[in-house]
Amino acid sequence: MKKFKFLVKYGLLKRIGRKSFIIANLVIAILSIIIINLPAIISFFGGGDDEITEMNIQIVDEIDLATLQSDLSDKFNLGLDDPFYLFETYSGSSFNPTAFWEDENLDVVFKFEGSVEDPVVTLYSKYPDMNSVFINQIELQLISYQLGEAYERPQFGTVLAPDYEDPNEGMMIGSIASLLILPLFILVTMATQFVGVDIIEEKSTKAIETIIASVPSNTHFLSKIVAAILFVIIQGGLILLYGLIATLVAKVFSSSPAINLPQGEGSLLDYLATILPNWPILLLMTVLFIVIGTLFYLVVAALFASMAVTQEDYQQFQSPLMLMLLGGFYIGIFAPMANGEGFMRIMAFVPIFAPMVAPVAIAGGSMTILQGVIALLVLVLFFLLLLYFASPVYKVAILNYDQTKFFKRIGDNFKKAFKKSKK
Amino acid sequence: MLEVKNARMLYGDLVAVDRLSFTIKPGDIFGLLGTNGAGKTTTFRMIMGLLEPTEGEVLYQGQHVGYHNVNEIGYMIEERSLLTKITVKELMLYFGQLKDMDPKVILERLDYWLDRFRITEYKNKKIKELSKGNQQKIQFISAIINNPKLLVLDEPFSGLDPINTELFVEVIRDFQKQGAMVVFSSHQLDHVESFCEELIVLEKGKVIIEGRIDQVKKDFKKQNIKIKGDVDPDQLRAIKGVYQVVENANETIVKIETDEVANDVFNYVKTCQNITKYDVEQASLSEIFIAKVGQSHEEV
Repeated sequence: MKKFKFLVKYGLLKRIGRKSFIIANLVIAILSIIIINLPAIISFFGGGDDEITEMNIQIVDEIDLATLQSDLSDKFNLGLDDPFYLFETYSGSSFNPTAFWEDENLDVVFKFEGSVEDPVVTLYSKYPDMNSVFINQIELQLISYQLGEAYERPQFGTVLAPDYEDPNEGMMIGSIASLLILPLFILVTMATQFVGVDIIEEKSTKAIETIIASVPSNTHFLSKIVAAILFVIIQGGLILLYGLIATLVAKVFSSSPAINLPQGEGSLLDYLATILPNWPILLLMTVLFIVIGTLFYLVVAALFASMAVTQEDYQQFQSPLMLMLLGGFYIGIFAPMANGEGFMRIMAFVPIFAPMVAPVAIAGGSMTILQGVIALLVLVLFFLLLLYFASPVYKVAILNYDQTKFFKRIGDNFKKAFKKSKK
Repeated sequence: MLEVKNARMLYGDLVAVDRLSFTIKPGDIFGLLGTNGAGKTTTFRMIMGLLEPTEGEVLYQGQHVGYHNVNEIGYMIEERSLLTKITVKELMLYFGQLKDMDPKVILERLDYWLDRFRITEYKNKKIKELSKGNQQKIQFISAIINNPKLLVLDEPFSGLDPINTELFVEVIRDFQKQGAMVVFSSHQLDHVESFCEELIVLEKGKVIIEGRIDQVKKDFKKQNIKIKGDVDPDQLRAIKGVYQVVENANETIVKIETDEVANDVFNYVKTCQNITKYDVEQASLSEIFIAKVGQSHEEV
């Protein structure tokens, strides 16, 4: 146990106790802050092109309030040097929504019906993001009309343009996929590389003989896996921390008058929180898939590295692992975009792809939480089975310098391992 | 005590080591010789517990070699087996702690050995920056840093110049004096002859020579006679029992089948002029090795 702890500590410090780790993390932190605040930054530097200088609002007053236009104008433009909200009252006989959607000079229509005591307000808005602001202001104005009376909350309705497409919806799955898969893919790739490179470095220099003469191969094998998974957890935690810092930065930016962000969407994380109301369970499932999935990939990496003899040899041996990782990555990224929900759901149950695909499938609604749990159990079982087979093969392969062809070598190592086990 | 009892190692149909037996007692230096592929490294791996013999057993202090007693053993493999991207100090801390050593003790001993091998300036240098000879020293230090009671050295003198070889020999002798058991292999037979008391020669996994060196030499009947003077090589070759005559610049070496032939050679030499040297010697280990293993392995 003492040697195991030492090997884990040694393996971990070898990665996180170096300048390269600190530099890489500084870069990741800066990039995280930039990426998460990209909308705010774009708005800050380039948003001027689309900046709205005035908003033309038409009032359809069927309540007959003589001062409604001027009252709303005062309220909306309160505190502004120049009026931003320009009001006019509809003068036609009956309001035609189709004409409004086609009218480029109008942005919003407030249609007031019913009575002051029981108003019904309908918003026709070309800027749905601002509807909550409009509703708040209108409600305040109507309250002032009702002073002294029993307050009756207005009924609000909103109407969007018939051809309106929520750009956020299109981004949703892409955002989920990239937010979940990309860090996972990077982390797993880094960790598998570390394990593979560590093992092949020790093996190709024959230092492995001295090491295995001092510690059992199983201890060596498990210590590599544990050190790598600890690295993933630490690095993952740091990435999460950078995300939180980036969110705080976004909050600071969004409160600044210099940046005109839509209310409530200061950062990508805020946005994701609104579109993923079940995020706690999703986060838990994602973490479990990351941990078990990374363990699974690490065992595969360690196994292949133990069979390789030289650094060049390892490049060939790690190809199947990289194909697995890339397969999962591409399925997770592109299947949602291609509306391949069924395909993604099936792939989420395939253990070699599940760690990448399942979290996205759950987040995107392609699979239920229960299905996700089943996919996780399948992955756990597959991982345990792999571990059972990998351990004796590693023991044989790590001191085997046979350089036969790829498949023959794998076959020979398995044969030797289980011949030995039977014995 | 290290006991190798009837150890046999098979790789499929290939017999790597065939029923090998020997015993090493505290204070013994034991040589394991053989051509490439004779089974030396396999034997060392069996001693270290890295390979389990197909038949037979290896016992160290009456127990199988395992991870419970491996901390008492020092192992130096044939090829340089160092992590080249780290420093000498980091490497020793790594290998030493794998032997359950305290880091402070490792560093104290490292300083001592670096001083003894005259390479103190390399303590914080990366292994890859060191010359091959210095890397060999570091490898040797990594094998002895835990003050082993059993020292297993596979080709320890490989690539060393005579001065450094002598340094290694001195250290190995020190361990012998402290009662450590030393088993080593070497292609340099003069080293084996100079400080090893007992040996085994393997060929294709089988023992072809074994025992104490003096006895091995005694049992090997062939002898050499070195002569300086005016002798006729053809006449020497004509003597029954002479199987080879080597004419060197300053002397003639006559190789004879048995010591009885020495009399016939001497009777001929008495008839010659200007004889200043007539010396009968036992065959060298190298000659015994070549004779037993075969001329095809003269490169060894």
